[in-house]
Amino acid sequence: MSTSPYRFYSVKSGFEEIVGLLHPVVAEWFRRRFKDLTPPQAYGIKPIVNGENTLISAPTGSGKTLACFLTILNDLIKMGVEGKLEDRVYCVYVSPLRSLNNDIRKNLSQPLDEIRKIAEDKGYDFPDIRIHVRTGDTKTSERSRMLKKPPHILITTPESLSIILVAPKFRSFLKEVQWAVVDEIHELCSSKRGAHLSLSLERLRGFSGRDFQRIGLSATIHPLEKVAAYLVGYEDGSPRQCTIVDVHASKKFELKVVSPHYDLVHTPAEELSRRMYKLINDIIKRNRTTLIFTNTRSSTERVVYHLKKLRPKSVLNEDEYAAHHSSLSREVRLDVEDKLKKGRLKAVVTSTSLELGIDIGYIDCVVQIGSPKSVTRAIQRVGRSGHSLEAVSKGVFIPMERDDLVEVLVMSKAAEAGKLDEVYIPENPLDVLAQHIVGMSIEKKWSIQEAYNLVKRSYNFRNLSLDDFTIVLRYLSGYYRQLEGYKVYGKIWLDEEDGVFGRRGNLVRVIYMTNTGTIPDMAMVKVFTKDNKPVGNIEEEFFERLSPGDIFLLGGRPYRCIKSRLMKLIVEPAEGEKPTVPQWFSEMLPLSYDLANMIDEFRIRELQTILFGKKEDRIRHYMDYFKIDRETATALYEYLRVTAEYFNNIGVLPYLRKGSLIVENYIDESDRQIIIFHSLVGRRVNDVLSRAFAVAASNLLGSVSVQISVGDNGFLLILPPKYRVDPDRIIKSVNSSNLYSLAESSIEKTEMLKHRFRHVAVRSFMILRNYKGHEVMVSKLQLNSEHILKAIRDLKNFPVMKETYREILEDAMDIKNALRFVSELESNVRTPLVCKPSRVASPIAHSLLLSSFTDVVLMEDKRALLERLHREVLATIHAAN
Amino acid sequence: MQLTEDVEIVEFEPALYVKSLDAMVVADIHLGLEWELEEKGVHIPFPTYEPIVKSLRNMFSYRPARRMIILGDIKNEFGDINPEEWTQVQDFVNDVRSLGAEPILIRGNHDNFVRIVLKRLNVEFQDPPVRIGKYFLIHGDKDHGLPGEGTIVLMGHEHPVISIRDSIGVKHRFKSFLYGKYYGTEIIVLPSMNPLTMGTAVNEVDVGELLSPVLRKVDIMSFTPILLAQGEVLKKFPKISNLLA
Repeated sequence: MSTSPYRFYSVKSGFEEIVGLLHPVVAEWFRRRFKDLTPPQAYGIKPIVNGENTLISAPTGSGKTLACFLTILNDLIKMGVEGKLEDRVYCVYVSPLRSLNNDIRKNLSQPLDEIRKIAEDKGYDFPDIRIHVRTGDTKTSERSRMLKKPPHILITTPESLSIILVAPKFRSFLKEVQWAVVDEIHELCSSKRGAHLSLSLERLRGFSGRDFQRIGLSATIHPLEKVAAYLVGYEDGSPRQCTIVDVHASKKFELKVVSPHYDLVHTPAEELSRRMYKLINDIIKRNRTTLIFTNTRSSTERVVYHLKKLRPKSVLNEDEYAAHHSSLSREVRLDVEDKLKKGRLKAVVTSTSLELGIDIGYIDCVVQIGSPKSVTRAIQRVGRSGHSLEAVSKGVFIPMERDDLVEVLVMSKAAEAGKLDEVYIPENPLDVLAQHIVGMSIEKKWSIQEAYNLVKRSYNFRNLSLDDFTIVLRYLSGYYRQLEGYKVYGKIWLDEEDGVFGRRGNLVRVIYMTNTGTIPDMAMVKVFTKDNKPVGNIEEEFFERLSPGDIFLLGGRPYRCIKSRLMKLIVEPAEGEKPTVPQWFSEMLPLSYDLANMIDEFRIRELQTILFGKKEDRIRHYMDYFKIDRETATALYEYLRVTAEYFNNIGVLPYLRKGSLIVENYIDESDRQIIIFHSLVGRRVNDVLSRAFAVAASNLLGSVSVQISVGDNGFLLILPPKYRVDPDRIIKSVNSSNLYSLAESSIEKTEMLKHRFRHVAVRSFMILRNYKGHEVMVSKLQLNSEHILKAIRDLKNFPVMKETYREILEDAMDIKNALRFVSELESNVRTPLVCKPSRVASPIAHSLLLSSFTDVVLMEDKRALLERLHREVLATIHAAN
Repeated sequence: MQLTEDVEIVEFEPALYVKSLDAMVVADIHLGLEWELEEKGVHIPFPTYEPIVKSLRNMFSYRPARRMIILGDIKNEFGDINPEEWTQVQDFVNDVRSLGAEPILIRGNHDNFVRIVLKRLNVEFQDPPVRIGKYFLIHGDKDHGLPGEGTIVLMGHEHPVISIRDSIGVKHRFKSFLYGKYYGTEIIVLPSMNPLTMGTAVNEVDVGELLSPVLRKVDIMSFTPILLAQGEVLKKFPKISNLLA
């Protein structure tokens, strides 16, 4: 019988039992400070004491940090008292947030001081236990101090850890690390940053004399086995063991949904906003401190501004309202956090920056404007209130438009039932691998096999093929140009015959240290209004595509370009105008696959029946079922009713059943055919589907360019004027065997590929952002990006390109579930329900039609493209005359 | 594509064929650009010389000219002598000769140090302006004055590109030849022959931002662009004044 390497631990330890495990001085301190164990301590300390790899999932503020560090501090003190404590690092603590690092150091130093006092009173010779933070902010003087007196507990970030690994002297202190703690693992594991950390930990393991204990600390996430697998990795092909402690079940939630108006369809936006601010201010008035989540950074400022303006009389000082988001300077953020902790703020508005486990003191209530787009995120956000395990977490969701309303209602039910979205962990990101190979080559000369084995210990790379490993080595050695016979600058040298590789040149260390990391650090262009007010930043590359007169979105609002000067763009607000430039990226969080499916089921079920019952009965039912007020229930009812009536009028409603995929065939005012797919499978899946269907449509029409628009609740294909195609034919031409290649060939011809490629190229060190002391500005080099991309594509299996496709299809999009969707269409689990051509679009299509997240699948060859451009230019000249 | 009775654009390459001179004319090859990029932190991973040779072969199979005139910037720069880069210049000269043509370089602003190697290879090297028949050959970095009625200026330096936003909002960039007249002098500007580079979007920048003093002086708005997708197509567009952003 095979047993799982991941074991859920549910044996509760008593207070005395735990205290009995501690050194007398620590025991004394613990007894004085605490009367009882918190759940993470009651369940988590034992496995850690036993030296097991342990993942603790518990709400913030439940004492899980202490659960983790009690054993570590205790052991260090014991060693110290016995005179066995050496000058080296025993524990590496990694968290994604620099600001969290300072908190942790404080939270550890304080107990240490208290314990020291007790020890000294008792006449013990108390050891000097050092805890240091080392991040990008750490000053050189502090660093050199650390070289003389290394910390016993090193607090750091993933990026700094990977740099420390090549620090000539400091790394020697890491030789015998005993514990590696990964905090906020739920945040890290789903990104490339997590993959990067995972390889750093394996490199650390690789040069330590022995294995260390891994401890992960997590907020709500699902499934925990997967996160545990990520935390501990593999050894010789089989997973390392991990004990999982889950104490989330005990946390109580109270989720409420309140619509700002009973009619979300016809009420003007200003009226909705006014009511929303009133709702929020009422909540703020009733609570001591309220935390408000918005979905974009830019709206954060706007919300604070309006809240201040409309604040109730009881709030005397507008400084009691603050914003907190990642674009603010560090000082401002720290100041807000500090005021929060001291309870000096009535309300804080944030986007994502306060989602993470910064200790923010007492929050009574969390307000979410719009939808948080995933059940897990909803719980994580609401979990920021009621800052102790016993306190109830209170959350109020305020939907601002009708699709949000349906979404948050279904979400609140799912959260109650504990139906969480499944976490996604990226696999085999070759750009991250490239960075680490460069880092490893700085450490020593490697045999290819040895390095490959090390990399495969990481969960993210456990299935990495030797071929993929080899192409990354080759790329880094400059192999592909070497074939031509001219001089090459490689970052590593590679001898495939002898199976060895190593660092090339002395510059490589600096390149690695100044460029490592996975958060794309792209050149940004500052955007200003005419009167020189900053509006925000856009990426250099998007900037290149803008011309005067273009309208684009920044922070969810439209702006018109006036002119650009060097790396500065001047704009003016263009309220109410549609963007003229496709924006293939979006600040908005994507709706998750699992939640979308639940919404789909709910929506179809309601549409099927809503016209049959009495209005009053149905509204009552919604009020009871969702525990909402009459206004909110009416808003929901009205939206569903007008939708059902629309589909009834065009004769589709009787055919609607579970699994139906509604497809509208809409002809707009400029006589373009717009095919609207109501595929409620989440935006990442729609992203794949839209592009694959666009290629299919283009193929049917004979290579024309098709515009797409992707939303959370479906997607659109917009055909050029006068072209017509039967939607059924498009649907039939996509199947599970051609989906992948359709998606791939569509990406090949989109703006998104160029955008992502540049990010991957930076991460792979193909484009060095920091080199020889200056910042590389790619747009200034006036390169022919089309030629370069084509030449790279021709290389076949070139790792940077391969990774770009992988990242797009697997991380940014969701090819796996897109395949599932298409297979479900084939097996009739889902059935298309295609509407007749219509000059009016359905109510559920409106938000999709307004969506600004668009891209174009360019299918024409160059000749056809130039012909078209020529025609268009002549038409404009003609129109102008 | 015929531009004048005597001059045509090679289909579809960044080159002109001048019949009366029996010469292929190109500009701004910038051999060794990849090394400069490498110095700036940008790694070009694929072979870069190959497509240049391919382009050469296409030109000469289209018109087997006896001469090849390079309107400056055969090599991308710089003072210090990198033996590998010299090898590439040497290879280029040999490749042109093996196609049956004799290279002639009109000096560009990047060509200061290439002289030594060209001398060794016995390649003709001249400072602009060079007058042959009615042709006035310059690189374009300096204004040598215009020769007047009945003459044709052939030049490079600017790396002209035309940028067009299409009806669905996508911006396209194409290398472009520019053809125009200024007080009786005909002027033809060639795009860069190096496939790695694009260049200046002449319909987007202010006239003052153009690189070449010659183009800043002549009325470039009245010039006709001929857009090139290398190896695929050439297309004449309306005057630049119609293509402003």
